[in-house]
Amino acid sequence: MSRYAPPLARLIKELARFPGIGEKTAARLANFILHESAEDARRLAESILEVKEKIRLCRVCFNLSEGDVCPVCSDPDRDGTVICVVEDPDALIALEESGTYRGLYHVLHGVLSPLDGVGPEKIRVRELIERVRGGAVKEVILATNPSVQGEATAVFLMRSLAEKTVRVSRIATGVPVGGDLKYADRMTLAKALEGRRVM
Amino acid sequence: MGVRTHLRTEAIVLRRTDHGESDWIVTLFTRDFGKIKGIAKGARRSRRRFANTLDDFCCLNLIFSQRGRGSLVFLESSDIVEHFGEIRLCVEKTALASYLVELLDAFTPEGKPNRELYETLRGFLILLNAGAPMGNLARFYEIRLLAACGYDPALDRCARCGTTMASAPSLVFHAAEGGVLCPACLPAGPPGLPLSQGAAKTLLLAKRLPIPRLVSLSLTPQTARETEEILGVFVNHLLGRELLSLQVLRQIRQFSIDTSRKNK
Ligand SMILES: [Zn+2]
Ligand SMILES: [Zn+2]
Repeated sequence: MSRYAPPLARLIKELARFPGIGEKTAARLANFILHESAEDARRLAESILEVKEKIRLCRVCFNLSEGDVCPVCSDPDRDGTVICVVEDPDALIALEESGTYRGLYHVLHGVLSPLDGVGPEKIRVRELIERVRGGAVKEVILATNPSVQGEATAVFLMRSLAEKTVRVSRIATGVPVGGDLKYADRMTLAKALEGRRVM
Repeated sequence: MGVRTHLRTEAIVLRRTDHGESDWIVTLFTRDFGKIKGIAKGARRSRRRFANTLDDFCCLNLIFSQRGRGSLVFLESSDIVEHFGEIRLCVEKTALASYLVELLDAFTPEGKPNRELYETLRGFLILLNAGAPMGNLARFYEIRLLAACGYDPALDRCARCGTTMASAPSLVFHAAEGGVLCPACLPAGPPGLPLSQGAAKTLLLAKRLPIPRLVSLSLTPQTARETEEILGVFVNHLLGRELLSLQVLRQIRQFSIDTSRKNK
């Protein structure tokens, strides 16, 4: 690291903290920024700050949002009687891009993960139960990933919602077992939603 | 030395973490090489080489290779031996299976073969998948794992002087001493944990029986309580912490009690 002038070394160190970014890649990115115009570099710095200042969680579904309520929840054309439960905002975006779903979402921000110490209180399960208790919801679609943790979470949610008067379904595994929703193609995702089953 | 030797073994996945955009780092316990940690390149995007086997506590046939002198091996490909589908359908069983692998992971160093330990984990996953009572399984697994890792607690003789305790009317377990103590060796300090002969004998038997026969061995409510207490305290004493999956298992049970109460 000491080969670099201190300000550059500092930038490399910051960039190397990102997931999947090693020191070599960090150095390449830092060099790119160094050779950019001051204007471009300022825009990058500002957008980082803006994300931290402006993005919060939707009061209703916990999707990332600029306002108090996210665009999906405030869209009057969406079907408010159906909630699709996803692990994280990336999965929500993947489903939105498939273009086939017209209901609302609930973002758990994680899955039950015993090995990581993540129990039901660390993800947004209580909030989901409260939403369903509210009465407007008729169907809950469980769209957690078909990994061991995603399945365990789905089974757990199904049981937690069992006594409510809602239909609970699980997306079909058009997505491969052990997989990650983020990397499935459009067709697979559309099929997965179409072929959901009652649990 | 350019050629990479491919090694083959059966293995069980202990833990899987994302690495970058497309790789997984996977910790496995292998039948022939002990615990290994490897990188599965591209496994998150293309599943063909691993055929959906690299998921928690899956049992698989693995081909891997050593690269350089680092401890991270290169996972080449795998196919499934057993998914343990029944465990995946139950959140408590999933949490307990997580406990089995977490406990083994905590007690084993990388690269030290231990065939007995491998067969123990595999045998207990099979029992759990087949629906054996969870509380008993956890205790029997703990005692066998401790024995296979060289931490066998003394239950029929004094941990200090070796006097036989097999006919003592009652036993006192001291985690810091590694077992029960005879009256002469009992320290003046904090009292130990009470352990009945019934509980001690059940654990000793659980250590000897072939794993499939453990389903015929049962714990009474009292011996279940005692064995959970002493083995829990002993494991925490050896590791210096409580395992996360046990805490999550408790939280899941508590949450379910709370929500079903609210619904009434
Ligand atoms: Zn929302
Ligand atoms: Zn003694």
